[in-house]
Amino acid sequence: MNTLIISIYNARKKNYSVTCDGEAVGLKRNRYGMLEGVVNTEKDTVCVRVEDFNELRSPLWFIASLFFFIVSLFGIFDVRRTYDKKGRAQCGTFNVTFRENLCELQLKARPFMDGTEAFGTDGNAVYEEIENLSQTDKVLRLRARIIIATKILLWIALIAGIIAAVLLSI
Amino acid sequence: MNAVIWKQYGVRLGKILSNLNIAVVVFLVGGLIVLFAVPAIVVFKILLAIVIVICSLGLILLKEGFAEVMFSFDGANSIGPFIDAYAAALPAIVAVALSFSIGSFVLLICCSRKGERSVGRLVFSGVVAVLALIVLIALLSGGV
Repeated sequence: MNTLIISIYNARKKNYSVTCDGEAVGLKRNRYGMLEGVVNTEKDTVCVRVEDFNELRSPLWFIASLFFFIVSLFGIFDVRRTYDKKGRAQCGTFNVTFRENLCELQLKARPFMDGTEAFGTDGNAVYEEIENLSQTDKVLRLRARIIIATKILLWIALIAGIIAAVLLSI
Repeated sequence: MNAVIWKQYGVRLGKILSNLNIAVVVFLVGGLIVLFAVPAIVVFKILLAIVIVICSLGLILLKEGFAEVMFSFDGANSIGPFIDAYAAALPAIVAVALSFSIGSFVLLICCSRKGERSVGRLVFSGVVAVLALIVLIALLSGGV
């Protein structure tokens, strides 16, 4: 049995999803804000993918955003930051080969800069870097703009509805 | 769809319910003060006046004379119906607070990661759920 410990540093204000050969890895956040996850496998090589979490990647992005907007009474009671409006995305894919039974892959999230490396790497794991990039995702940016426009339209519709109701009732 | 996204949706919904719960509790406590402590009625009148002024300012331009009607309430006589309505709606409000508390507590416990749990929200939801349950039972059994 091989064990891979994955640690993500500088993740205090961010949320990442990690998959190992396509399966989600459960992460725990320690008291210093670092994310840690453990993978146990019989394989000699695993593909680890780290991606910053963005709700707009979900297939239900529009319906979910609309649902939360309405449930939170037009966004008044919504949580503050749910997705990046500029579509900034960081992702990394690493093929890790086990030369020892216990390996550690340490990833240090870098500040976002378009077209640069997303994660610095450390630890005793032997890995091959497939992808490691910070980039502006145009699809996410477009989706964010669509949601903002929809919210503005809904607010206008609400205000117009209230005014119409008041005028009709007087 | 990725399980991480579902969990994040759960956390978000739990936080929204928690925020709504805070609003309901503020309304509930404010109303209870007015209902059971007569001197606090002055505070309620001031708050009500502020709300009415804010609402009326937007309507003055739309319909002249509407604001005069809104401003014309005179003390306890105007507030009486509000208190009656509040007292009638009290069990429903407590039930809403209870359901929001349980919902947010369950969602935050089940969906958030270890180390990321909002302890303040969880404690608040738990306390409100227990108190709301006690008040609801007392109200329904005719104790209050």
